[in-house]
Amino acid sequence: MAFFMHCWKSIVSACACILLAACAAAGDAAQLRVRSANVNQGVLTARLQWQPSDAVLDALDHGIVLDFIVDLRAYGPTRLGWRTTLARAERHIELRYFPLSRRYQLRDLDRGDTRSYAARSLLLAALEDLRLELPDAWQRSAAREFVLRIDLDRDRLPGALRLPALLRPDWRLSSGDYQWQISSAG
Amino acid sequence: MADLQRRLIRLARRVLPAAAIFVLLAGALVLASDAAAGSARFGRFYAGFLGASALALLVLIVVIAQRIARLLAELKRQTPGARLTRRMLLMLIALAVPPVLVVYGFALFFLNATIDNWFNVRLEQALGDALEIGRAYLDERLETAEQKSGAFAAELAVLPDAGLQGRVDAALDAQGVTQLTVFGDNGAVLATASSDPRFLNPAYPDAAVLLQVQNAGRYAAAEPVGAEEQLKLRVVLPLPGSGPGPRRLLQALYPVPDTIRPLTTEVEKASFDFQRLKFLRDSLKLTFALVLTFVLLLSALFAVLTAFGVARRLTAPIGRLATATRAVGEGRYDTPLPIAGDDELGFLLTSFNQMQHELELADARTRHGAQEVEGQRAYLKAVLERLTTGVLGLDRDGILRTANHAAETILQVPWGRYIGRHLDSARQEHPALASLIDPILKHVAEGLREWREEVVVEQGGERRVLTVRGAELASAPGDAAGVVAVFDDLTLLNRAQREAAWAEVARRLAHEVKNPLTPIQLAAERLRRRFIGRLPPEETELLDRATHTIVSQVEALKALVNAFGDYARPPQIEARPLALHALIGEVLDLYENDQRIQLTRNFASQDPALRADAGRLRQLLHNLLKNSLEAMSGERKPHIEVATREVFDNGRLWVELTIADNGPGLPAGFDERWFEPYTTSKQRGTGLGLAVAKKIVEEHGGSIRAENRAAGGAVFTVRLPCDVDSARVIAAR
Repeated sequence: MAFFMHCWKSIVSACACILLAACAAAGDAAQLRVRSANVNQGVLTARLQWQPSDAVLDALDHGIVLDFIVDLRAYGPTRLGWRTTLARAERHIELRYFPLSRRYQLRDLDRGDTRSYAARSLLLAALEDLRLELPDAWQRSAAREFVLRIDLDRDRLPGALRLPALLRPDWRLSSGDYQWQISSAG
Repeated sequence: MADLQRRLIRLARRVLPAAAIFVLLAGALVLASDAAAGSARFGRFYAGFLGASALALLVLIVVIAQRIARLLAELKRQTPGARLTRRMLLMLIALAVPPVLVVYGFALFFLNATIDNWFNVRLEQALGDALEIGRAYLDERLETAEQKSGAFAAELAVLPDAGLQGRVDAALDAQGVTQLTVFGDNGAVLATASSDPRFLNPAYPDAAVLLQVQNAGRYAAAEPVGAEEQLKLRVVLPLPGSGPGPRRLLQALYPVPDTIRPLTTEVEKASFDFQRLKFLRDSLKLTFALVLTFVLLLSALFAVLTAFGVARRLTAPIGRLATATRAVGEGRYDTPLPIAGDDELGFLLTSFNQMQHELELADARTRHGAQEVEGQRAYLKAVLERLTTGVLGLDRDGILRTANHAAETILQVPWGRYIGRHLDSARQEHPALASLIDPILKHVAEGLREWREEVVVEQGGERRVLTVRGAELASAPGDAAGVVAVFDDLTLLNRAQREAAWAEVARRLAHEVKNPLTPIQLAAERLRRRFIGRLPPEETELLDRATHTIVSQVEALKALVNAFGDYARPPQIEARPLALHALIGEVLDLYENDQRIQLTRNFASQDPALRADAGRLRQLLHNLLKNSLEAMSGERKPHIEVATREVFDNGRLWVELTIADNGPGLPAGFDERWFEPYTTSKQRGTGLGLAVAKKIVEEHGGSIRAENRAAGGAVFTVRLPCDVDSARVIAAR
């Protein structure tokens, strides 16, 4: 009986996942979004809104490393309907938990900056108030239009979680493109 | 080249789908292995694999649905081999799919059971305890570090900023710290010292730490620090201030002892891995279930598709064989079967082709034989139709099966109406044929192999003598298929024989009798001249009567012999173009002066031109006129009408000459025999007039017939062929 129960549950789960994936394919749950962002003197400051699901928080507390890709693009003025990309920066931010010290950590993998937090809420607050130093080229950039996008890098999830992450909406964390312009005076 | 290309395309079409499925299955195994190992090497392939598998499943489903629809259509059309394909397909599916399902179920079960067995409760408890021990140790070390840092901060509090660095350097070893740093209120580093080159740059405490320092007066925590994430004990304390001025912070990083650090790291790692694995348990099960489900669906659908192909490949030759068998059954042998291989099926197809070839040859022979039979039948029919001998074919029951044209002509009976009917029905409808039919039926009933009879048929006032011969038809030895009766009309033959006999008689008479007549006549006349007047009157009178009788009888005999001579004379006519009316006029002029008869001429408007012997035609006219005059000897007002008219018959132009009288008419029983010699109803007739007339007409290619007139009397009609060339010759004159 247990044999059939095991098999039955697995089959139902697989079918449910496929159905969920099919249903969720149309649109992502807006768990992560950019509320505001700005680039000033080579520093990106962004205020995010993230309401992680219990599954994601549970994963974080169980040692699953969450890797976010911060994709920032700067565009020049539009000419003849064509928008030129002046600069682009892709940064990786990692969230993880250390059980022995009971510390949460936020790391800028590209610069090696690490910040440690005693509570998960502090970690999430730090992520929501994101501040990243950009390369020097950004300080000289004359860009007036920016697009910011933040996605969970599902390719870096553990292998066992990768297929479910493709199918479950909890793991479809993407802010979408956040676009803003700055005035020439600013 | 094109053939090679076609083969390559066919091979690709067969191999590529299987290779794609194989690659997907292998990929699924690799990804499953990757997932089980917790590796992220193939992370970017997961979505591609999922999409490719879904696409492959979709393609397989569509292709299978198409095959099923095609099979259903073939079943509906009752295409040969479709039912066998269905049966074989179901059998192959029944053989292939259940094992796959069983393996799938057992694989899932064992995977789930194995994954569950990874998480031993006691192991989890032990790891949790070890982690708690590590935490307790770190807490203890933190407390010590906090005490030491507090004391050192008190020392530093009294020092000015400029003296801090020296004190910090001096205390580095004494405190046993990795890094000591004093920050100013603005975050500036007032003094720092490090025993580890990797920690030369001190990091200013972040807002959370500062907040805790502000609230609790201190911060102490074990933290993974640096790029290598070494666990350090971090203590942050404000330097006790002696008065107003900028507030300074002391940050000390204490190392975990080298003997303890690997242990804590291992404990943390083991516990962490366990917790992570525990969290991933359901995901791992789900991943395996998904991979196995895809593998199952791919395998099962591919097995079904392969079963389709295998079933079709196996049943296609049988279907073609069924089609060809049906074609052979319908008599068509033009469907050679391609040989599928060198197995038993190939042997069967080879044998079928050979059998079909043999049947084709046999059929061709049969057709050829039938054509020959048909040809012979047509030949026989043509021969039968052209025979002047009548032929009747009957079966053993007396049913008439065949009759030729001569049989109809001779007997004037439409035998076609009686084909398939008993011959007795013809006898009932034509009683005159009883003398012919009765002996035929009698001999059929007796079963005689051959027989011959001469019968006389009285039909329509005409008497026919027939010789009938019968023979049994045998289709096989001892088997009688029927009887054939052939009969000839001997009437004409007999007549010709009689005519020939009379001609011989006439010739002998002319030769044997005529010669002595002249001496007899001369002798009688000499007796008259010598003894008349010399004998007594009584005797003279007697001599006169006697010699007169002799002379007159000799004259009569001469006339008779001459008539016989004319009859017996071989046909030596001198045919020349002549105008018939002129000739008739010359002859009739001889009779015009005879007051006893009335002659009427009723000629056609145009004088018919003939090619004939004028002398013989005059004799013909004389014979017929004389015959009419003799027939009307008792009439008070004898009347003879001579008429001509042109008729078109049997494809040519004829002239009909009729000589009609108002005499007593033809004697009873007048028929063709009356045109034979020595047939007459007159007391003093020679019986040769009509025979000679008939002979003259036949010498000119004509015919003569006699019949009674409705108004009384007889009419003789002579039909002679007209000659166009003669008409031109006469016109030229």
